[in-house]
Amino acid sequence: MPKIGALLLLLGVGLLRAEEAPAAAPPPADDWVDKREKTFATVWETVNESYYDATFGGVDWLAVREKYHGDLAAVADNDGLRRLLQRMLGELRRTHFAIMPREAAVFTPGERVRIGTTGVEVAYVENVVAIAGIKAGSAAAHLDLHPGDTIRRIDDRDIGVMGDYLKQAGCSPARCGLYLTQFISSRLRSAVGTKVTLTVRGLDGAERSVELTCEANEGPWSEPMGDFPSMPVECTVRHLPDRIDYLHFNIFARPIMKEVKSTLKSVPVDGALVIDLRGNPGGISIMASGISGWLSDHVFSMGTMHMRQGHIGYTVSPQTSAFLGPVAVLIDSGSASTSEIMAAGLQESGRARIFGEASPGAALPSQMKTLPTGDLLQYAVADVQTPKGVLIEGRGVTPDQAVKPSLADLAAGRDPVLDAAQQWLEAVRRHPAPSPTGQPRNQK
Amino acid sequence: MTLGMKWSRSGARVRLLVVALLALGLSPRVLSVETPVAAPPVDAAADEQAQIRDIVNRWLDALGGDWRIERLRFADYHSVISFGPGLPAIDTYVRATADGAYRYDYELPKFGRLTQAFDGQNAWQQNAELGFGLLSPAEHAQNLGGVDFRAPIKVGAYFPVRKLLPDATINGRRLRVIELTDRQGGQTKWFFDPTTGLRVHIEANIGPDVATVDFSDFRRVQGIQEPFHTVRHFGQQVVDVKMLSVLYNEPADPVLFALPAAWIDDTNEVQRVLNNYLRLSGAANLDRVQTRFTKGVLENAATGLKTATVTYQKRPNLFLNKQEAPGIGQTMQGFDGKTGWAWSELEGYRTMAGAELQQMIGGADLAGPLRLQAVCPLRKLLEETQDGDRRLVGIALATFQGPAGNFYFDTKTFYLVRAETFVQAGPSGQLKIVADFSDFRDVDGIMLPFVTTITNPAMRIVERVESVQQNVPLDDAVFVPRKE
Repeated sequence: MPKIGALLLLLGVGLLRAEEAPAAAPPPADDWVDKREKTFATVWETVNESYYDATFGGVDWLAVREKYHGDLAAVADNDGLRRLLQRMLGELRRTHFAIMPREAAVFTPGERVRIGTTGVEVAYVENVVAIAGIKAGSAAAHLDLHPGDTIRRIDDRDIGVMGDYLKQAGCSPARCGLYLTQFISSRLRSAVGTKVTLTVRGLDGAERSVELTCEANEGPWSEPMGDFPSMPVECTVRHLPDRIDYLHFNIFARPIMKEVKSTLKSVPVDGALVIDLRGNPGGISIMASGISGWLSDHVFSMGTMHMRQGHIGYTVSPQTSAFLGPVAVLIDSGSASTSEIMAAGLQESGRARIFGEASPGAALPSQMKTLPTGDLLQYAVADVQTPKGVLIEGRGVTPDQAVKPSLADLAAGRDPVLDAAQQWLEAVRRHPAPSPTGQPRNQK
Repeated sequence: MTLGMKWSRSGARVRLLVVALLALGLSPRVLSVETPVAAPPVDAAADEQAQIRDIVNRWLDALGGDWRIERLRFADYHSVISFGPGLPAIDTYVRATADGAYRYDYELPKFGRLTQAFDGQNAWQQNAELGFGLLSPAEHAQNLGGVDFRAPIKVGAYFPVRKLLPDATINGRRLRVIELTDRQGGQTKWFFDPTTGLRVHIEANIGPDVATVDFSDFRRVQGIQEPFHTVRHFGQQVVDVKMLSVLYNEPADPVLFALPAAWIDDTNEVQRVLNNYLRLSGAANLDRVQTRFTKGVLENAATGLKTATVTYQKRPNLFLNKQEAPGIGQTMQGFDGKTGWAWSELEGYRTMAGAELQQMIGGADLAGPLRLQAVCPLRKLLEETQDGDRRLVGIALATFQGPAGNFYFDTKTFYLVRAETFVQAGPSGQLKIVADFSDFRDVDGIMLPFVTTITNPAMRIVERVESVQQNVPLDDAVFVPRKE
């Protein structure tokens, strides 16, 4: 069955998504009771059949069903059902188990108004969520918002309180950063026309509130893949001094592949490359090995996803005209899932040096399924281990060179992580480590 | 050895191992009085044959004499076969009688003892875990040749044509060389050490390659010289056989060679099911199929992802599958007769190797069902089960590498309706799956499933065939690897 084999490779979508339900969910239909029951059953059974670990990591999944099914009769609407199902999935204590509101998902061009943009980019810095950048030309560019501002509240949600809750729940700093930045980002990507109020504190200590309006995402979007929705896609390529090329993309999706290939092919043979995975929540997981094929002249493994009955390797196959010079990869607490698989694989194989802050350890290949209510269930079907057998989920990737930006760096427009990577790339080209063959790799 | 042959999956290697086995037991003897089939009536030819007789007779004397060989009734060999670095060595016990009964016991590293035996009527094989089966005539012939310890007194019949070749030097030793031609026209060169008279080297052309066997560490056992170390080379493969012990004329219990009575019924039933499957599914008509073009849709029911798929196949095993999925783009997999390859927008180009390549080649084989029994020589009959309104009879099929899976046949139609097996997923992946075949339709006299459902805990993939065309012209260029 060779043709089936090809499709099997595409089963893992390593993307961490956090979507909040729009304010006005549709009212329950007449068949609500039946739909509620079927949705509950679908979620529980899907996990029961496909969870990658037959022991459920020690969780008594049958007992979990009884516990939450007992509360099901009291659930009066879809919002309540989402909360109940999310709590049930939360018992697994694993990432990539979520209920996505259908109203927030985009499957057609007409639905793209459901995901807007404010132009505000956020990052987890000094244990707070701060504005990392504001896109030129966006509505936010003209408002009293500045990189380095700490986000205190978004609408009625107190970010400090949320952070405290996460810390009390035992989340690592990287996980806190991931959850908080994803939460705020999802609000900042509300439907077009939605007004969002940000309360920020500047470096001077003064607080102010600013109202933003979500605008349309005019850039390219990924295509939906079955039940996996469409998303805005961004890819940035910059040519830095000293023949260093910089590549950043916001998600591992098909539309970025062309730009990535083109960039990797065009890096000068004696040049260097920075791949910035900061804030990248993942995407199609095989793209981690696919992109890495353009960075290698030999076959190597980036890791293996282990399922309940089988495993699939992330095998890197070298591509013609691959770039073989030095590579730096930038990560932070927003680098999740496929980003972590790629960073870990390149790090362990020695192909790249990793800079920045620890990633959150949220790397479970997952799938999406439409539920009877129309909402989407994201569920993990595999665990990922590096070639040395290290589980990425719950551990994350530790940079080879830890670099922590400060709020002052953001305010001043400095990027110490990128600076460190550039310094290393310059140094390593001046004093290359001897290769086993005695030939510089980039001369082949 | 037959076992090594199957592992190699190469007809060429088969012949090498047959040649080699002639050395594991005893060495064939050319009787001094045999007349060549086509001897030229000139003195030179007579002189050549006289020289050959001298070489062979000297060799026979060095072995211990034909009278000793003629007295042999039973033989027991214990050896260790190594297939190269990183591969487990296999302990092998062989028992044989002068009447032609034999029993090979191989200790497989993972699955324990594999027995291949012949009791004078049935040539059979069995492994407790993998199952049992009858040996094919070719396998049996190879096994028989390997334990023909009286071969030296039959060699005249084996090699009717013999030719003296110029001396050759191997590893600094000058060796006498004769070329032997068997009744099928196969040629072998034997190299003799003029100092000892012993045969120390064999060469045979197998396809474009040369197979060689080297004998050393000769020791006398009950008056007969045996090579205790044999090394066979063929291509990249090196098989090293170290003899641990040889014992002659220790009577063997006939029970050792007999097909266990308990298996006879199951063997017959398995054969009946497989024969019916081939007959009723129209598999025999596969011989008339030269090409096949299939269009369909693959749907991953767990994700809602639908993929358009087209497959081109051409005998013997050229293959190309193209898929186009939204959000993923195009992916292709193919085999052009030499290279198994894959290309996708997201992963680029790569070639296949190992188990993935074997799966590709096996899946590409248009006449695959006809070769099912040859590919999976070990079988087990499973209990009949009720599946909805039909009854299924199951057969567990296995190769010597391990189980190939459980295959279930409808007891009314004898169509293959379910397979529980493993599939290679990429260069280093393997998934346990259940494949259900349904919606059988007659295509040129062959019953093909138009719906295949693949199930694994992580997914459920349904392939629906939309159209099948057979014997349409397909250029070989269709299967050439795409790198961009």
